[in-house]
Order: sequence, then structure tokens, then C-alpha cells
Amino acid sequence: MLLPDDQMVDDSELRLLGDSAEAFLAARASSGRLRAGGPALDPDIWAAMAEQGWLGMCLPEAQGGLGMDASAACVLTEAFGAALLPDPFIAMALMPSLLLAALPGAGDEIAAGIAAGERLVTVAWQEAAENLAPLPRDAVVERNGDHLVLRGRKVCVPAIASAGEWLVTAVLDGASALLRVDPALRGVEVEQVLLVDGTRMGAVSFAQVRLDETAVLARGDEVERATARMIAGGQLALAAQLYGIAKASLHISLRYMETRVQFGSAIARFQSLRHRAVDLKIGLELARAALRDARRPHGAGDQAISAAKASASEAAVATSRAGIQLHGAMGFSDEADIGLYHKAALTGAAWLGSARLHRTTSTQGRGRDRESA
Amino acid sequence: MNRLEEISASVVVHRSELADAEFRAAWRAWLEEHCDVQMLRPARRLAGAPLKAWLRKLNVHGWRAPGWPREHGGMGLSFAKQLIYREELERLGVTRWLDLGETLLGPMLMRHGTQEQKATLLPRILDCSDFWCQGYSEPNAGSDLASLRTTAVRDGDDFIVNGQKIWTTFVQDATHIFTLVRTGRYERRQQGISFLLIDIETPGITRRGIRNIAGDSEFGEVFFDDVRVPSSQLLGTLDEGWTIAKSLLEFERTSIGSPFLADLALKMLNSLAERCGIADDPVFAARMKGFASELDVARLLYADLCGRFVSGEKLDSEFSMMKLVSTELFQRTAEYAVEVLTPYQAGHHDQPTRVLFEELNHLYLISRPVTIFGGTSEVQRDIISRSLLAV
Ligand SMILES: Cc1cc2nc3c(=O)[nH]c(=O)nc-3n(C[C@H](O)[C@H](O)[C@H](O)COP(=O)(O)OP(=O)(O)OC[C@H]3O[C@@H](n4cnc5c(N)ncnc54)[C@H](O)[C@@H]3O)c2cc1C
Repeated sequence: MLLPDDQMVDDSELRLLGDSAEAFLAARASSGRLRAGGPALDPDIWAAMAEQGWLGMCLPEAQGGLGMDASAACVLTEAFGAALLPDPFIAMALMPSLLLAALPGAGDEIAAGIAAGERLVTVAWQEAAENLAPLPRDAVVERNGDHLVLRGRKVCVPAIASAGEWLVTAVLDGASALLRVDPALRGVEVEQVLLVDGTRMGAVSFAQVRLDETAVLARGDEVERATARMIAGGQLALAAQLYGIAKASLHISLRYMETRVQFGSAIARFQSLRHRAVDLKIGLELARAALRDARRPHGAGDQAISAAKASASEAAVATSRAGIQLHGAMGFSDEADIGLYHKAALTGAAWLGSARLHRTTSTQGRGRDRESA
Repeated sequence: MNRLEEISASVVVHRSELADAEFRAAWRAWLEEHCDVQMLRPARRLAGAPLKAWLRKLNVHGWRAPGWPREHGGMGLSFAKQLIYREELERLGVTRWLDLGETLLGPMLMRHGTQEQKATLLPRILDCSDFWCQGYSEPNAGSDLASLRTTAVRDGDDFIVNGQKIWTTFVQDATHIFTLVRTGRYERRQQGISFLLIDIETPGITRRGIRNIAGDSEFGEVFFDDVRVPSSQLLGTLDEGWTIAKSLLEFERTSIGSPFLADLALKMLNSLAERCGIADDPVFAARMKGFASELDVARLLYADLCGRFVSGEKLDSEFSMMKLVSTELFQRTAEYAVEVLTPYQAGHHDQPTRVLFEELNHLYLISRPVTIFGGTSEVQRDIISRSLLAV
């Protein structure tokens, strides 16, 4: 287990959070679960996370939370990444919390249920792959007499196999609306896709799904703003998780190099491998700088978050990929953790915008910053 | 000889003497007729019962062991025809297979085996009565193979073998294992290693499959606990097994350098990019052209080396460099494919696209060890550097 990065956390409250994450993870090894290919969400672990107050940490106290922000959640996700915890904290706790926190009064009951670990909720907002627009277009809900009818599609719905209810964004009377949808309703069709790390994402279609008026939790511009806030918070926490993956991948690879002996010496003595390790460390430092910038108090801009997500994705993929090579045949075997890290890195790097996508947004933004300065 | 064997024997004679173009046409026609869907998954490799069934089928139809001389029951093909044989498999996208009995052990037996070893073992390889795996690597002897510690101690007419092998591909499917074992201690560590042929059912042997990151249990480990092996199972001279193992088999060197898998990754990338609607993105299209051009040039180098090889030139580090070119291009192409396509995996797709995504993930994962087995890229570069630098 690796401690969350001290330099990242200069606040004593967050340091305590980091300490409790460390104790929590030390008592629960994830690699066995990952190898066994079981469900991503373990009910006991989820309940224990609820007890720690983590599931609702970004909800205001009025909604049963701790009133913290996504930057604070990074302390946890970095540790989760480093420990390979598969439970969908970002998808099913952080993102729905951020969404509901920005819509007070909308789904307070759901929010309280999320914080208590009793309601398993995922958010279906994305309508096209590699498209992070917070505005729904394709999913449309219309009135039909005394009820509503939902049609359209959503993609890349995370933790699809674990969630029991969905928050869905859709167009209602020309404005955005947030709906609560039960996946068991008639007309809901789910295509579960098995990702390389063994978790599942969904592509969902709604074919004239009949809903009650009570399904509408919120409507208007505030839904779009809340969705944007949720996406940004999710990206930031995911960047921290990927940073944790990168850090742990480098750590275990370096330790392996120090102990593996070939040709009469530790392979860490071979210059070509030492240089490779240094390059990986540089990638990690770049990711750390970008993440630190994106986590600054009072909220970072989207460009800073893009830079963090891009750099952390690249560092996580590169470090774990090189880690496999540095482990030799052991790295290709399912008995070494490095392969698990690599699969987690690939999956995280592809979610909420790839490095390819974020590199373009982050440079566009910086260009504008400079011009206006 | 039964009737079937008679027919196939006469066909073999015929095939090796065909003109190259006719040979190609005949092989292509046979493959097109005999490959069902399962045999047309080039990202996959045969294993288990289907592998053995396929090898037997090749044998019965006279298409087995293209490089073996006819006197030993092979096809007796020239290098040029062996290349054609492989080109057609790659062109058609036939499911790949690996048979170390045919490609590694057979040629070593022909060169170093006793008359009796050749007479009993070679035919059993061809008809798959025996299926061999390669037991060289050990937990502490990977790149540094000469540090291997599995021992064989003479006891009357037998050797007593103790130790462990690991990463043994197809250990679960094998009936036999060819091993390098330590029989003596000399100043040069490479000396004192012997080449021993062992029946995997011998008492004292236990084996265990090891799952790889792609989820397959292709390789595994083998434990030897006082295993009694008749001394007649020694191949070549006692203590000189290293030379046998390292006498790299000429044609095999060409096969490890083929850029076929890079080509496969590029095709898969292309086809999925179209299905995901990103093929026309100008940045993506430029990258694709870049990969295609690199692949073209790798093919040119490969064709050049194969041509020089067929005309009898001695090539050594050239094929090692070719292996680096092909394996690293394969990896980079697969890496890019996964990087740009994975975000699209959970979009709405038809069934064939979903399957293609699973094939891509599998291809990506099996692209990881190509720079590890058969000499890691780092060690290959070390060896090649010695042919370039005088100090
Ligand atoms: C899929 C697969 C199938 C295999 N099948 C078989 C089989 O059937 N039979 C068999 O006997 N073996 C098999 N092997 C084992 C293979 O031969 C070894 O993996 C290989 O020799 C490397 O050894 P190692 O894995 O112990 O890595 P190590 O030698 O421990 O290498 C670890 C890392 O150190 C680097 N390194 C080592 N030495 C140096 C150096 N001098 N300079 C710079 N870097 C160095 C390596 O490049 C690597 O990155 C297989 C391996 C794989 C992955």
C-alpha cells in the first residue's frame, strides 16, 4: 500500500482522510477479487465505505454528506487507484453526489440513500463516445396525457452491472431535465460491454419508456450546470485515481528490478532499464504537477482538469505497460499485479475523455488564457 | 503403409517439385477448402484438442512439416516454398499455431539424434502421438538461461532429475518435454548442461497451468521430484546440450521476424475505426498512413532479408533486428488501437463490432510478451550491439 502523496495534501482534515483510506485499504486486498472476476461492487466494502462517510462526502451536510469537494475526494481515489480497489466509487458515489449536490431539493432522498450506501445509482448522461457535452440531445422525454415517455440513447454508462437505478439527463420541453429511471422498466434495453479490466459499461436505449411525472427530479439550465460540474469532478477524481495507478505501478516495478537477479546482479543494475525507469518517473512527475494544479482550492478550470486527466492517463498507461516488460514473463502472468494495474489504467484512461481528447482541450484553453493575459 | 498414407506420400513428392506458383495455388486451394470459421481467427492461436486435430489433418493431407526433409516424412520444401507456405497462411488469415516438436525439436533430432531416436520420435511428432513442450526457463533462469539449476544425476542406466521449469508453453497439452538440465559443473556455465527428452507422464513430475493476463492458461510450470529418465533419452553429447539448444534453426529465424501481427493489428484498427466513425478524422487518418508506411517498409526489409537468405547468404543479427522491428511495430500499432478505440467500446454497436472489440483487446494483451519470449528486446539489443561495436 502506498500513502497518498503528502505534497498533494496540505490540509490536516484531508491528511486524516488519507490516513483512514490507508487503514481501510490495508485491511482489504483487491487483487484476489480482480483475478476471480467477481462483481466490481462488493456489498460489504460498499457498506464500510458508507460507514466512513465517503460515499456522500461531496453532498452538503443538509443532504447527509460531509460537504467536501471533488478535490478532497482525490485523496481517496488516488489511494483506491494505488490499491486497485475495483468498487465504483467515482461512478456510483462521487458523480451522482456531485450532480445532486448541485440540485438542492431535487433528489434529496436519493442523495441520502447514496450516502448511506443503500441506493446503488449510476448516471447516464453521455450520448456519444468521446463527447463530453453536458447537454442532452438524443434522449428526449415528452408528455403523453398523465405520464411521460422517454426515448433515445445513452452510451458509456459506468458500473452498469452494479447499479440498481439510473439518473438520466434528457430534453424536456426544449430544456434539460434530470430523471430517475428504473432499469427494469419496459422499453429499457441495456447492452453490457465487458472492458479489458473485467468491469462493465453500458450502452442503453430507451424505446418509449413510460415514466411518472415524479420521475422528473429537476429541469432547466441548472441541470446542465450540475452535469458539467459532475463531469469535471469525475474527471479530476479519475485523474487522481490514474495517478495512484501510475505511482503504484512504478513503485512495484522498481522494487522488482531491485530484487530480480539475472547474470549475477539485480536487473536494476542494467543501464537500459535504469534509463527506462527514469523516463517513467518523469512522466509521473508531470502528471503530479498537472494534478496538483487542477486540485487547487476554489476550483480549477476545465483546461487544468483536462491537462491532469491527460497526463495522469498517459503516465498510468505508460508506467504499467513498461512495468510488464520489466517483469519479464512474470509480467505477462496473471499472478503478478502489474498486469492488473495495466488493465485498470487502460480502462480509466478511456473513460471521461481520452488523453487524445483532453490534450486538445487543454492546449486550446491555455492558448486563450495567454491571449487574454 | 495404409492406403491413405500411400496417397499422401505420393502427393508430398509431387508438391515439393511443383513450380512455386502452382505450389502456392495448391496450398491456397487446400486452405480455402479446409478452414472453417474457427480456423480463420488470426488473432488467436490453436491449443488443446483442436490444435492436435489440425496438425493430424495437415499430416493426413500431406501438408505437415514443410521444412522437414522427405526422408523423415516432411514436405521437403525449399526455403522459397516454405516462405510461400507461410505467406498463404498469413494472407488468408488462418488461425495461428505453434508446434515446437515440429519446428524446434524435430530439426535438432535430425542433426543430433541417434538412428533410434530419429526412427521412433520423428514419426510420432508428425502424427501427433507425441506433443512436445520446451522446458528451458526456470524461476531464476530467464534471460540468463545458463544459470539453470534443474539437475540430472547419473544413476545406473538412468538420470535422476530434480528441479523446476516455468513459463512452459502448452505444458498442459504436452505428452513430452525437452529440457536443458545441469549434469556437470565447469568454469564456463554453458558447459555441463545436457539436453534431455522426458515423457511428461513419468512418476515424480507434476505440472500446473499459469494463467496469463489475456485469461488463457497457455503456459505453466513443471516440477521434477526424483524423476527417473532412461539415459537413452539424452540428445547429443553429455554436458554439451547448450550448443544444441543454441544452434538456432535456420528457417525459424525467418519466422520470428515476420511483420504479420503488425499487419493484423493495423487491419483491426482500420476496420474498427470505420465502425466507430473516426476513420475520417484527419489526425487519425494521418496516423494510419504513418503506420501503413512503416509496415510497408518493414515488409521491404523482411522481403530483402528472406531473399538474401534463400540465396544462401548467412544472416544473423539481421534477423534479430527484424524481430525488433516487427514486434515493436506490432506493439505500437496495438497500443494506438487500444488508445483511440477503447473510449468507443461502450457505444452502440452491432454484434460483429462487439466481437471485434474483444478480439482487439485480446490481440493487444498478447502483443505484450512478443518483446519478452525468445529473448527480450533488451537482451536482443545487447547481443546485436556486439556485432556493431568492437569495444
Ligand atoms: C508467453 C511466453 C511464453 C514462453 N514460453 C516458454 C517456453 O515454452 N519454454 C521456455 O523455456 N520458456 C518460455 N518462456 C520464457 C522466456 O524464454 C523468458 O521469459 C525470457 O527468457 C525472459 O526471461 P524472464 O521472463 O525470466 O525475464 P528476466 O530475464 O527476469 O527479465 C526481466 C527484465 O529484465 C531485462 N533484462 C534481463 N537481463 C538484462 C540485461 N542483461 N540487460 C538489460 N535488461 C535485461 C529483461 O529484458 C526484462 O525486461 C516464455 C515466456 C513468455 C512470456
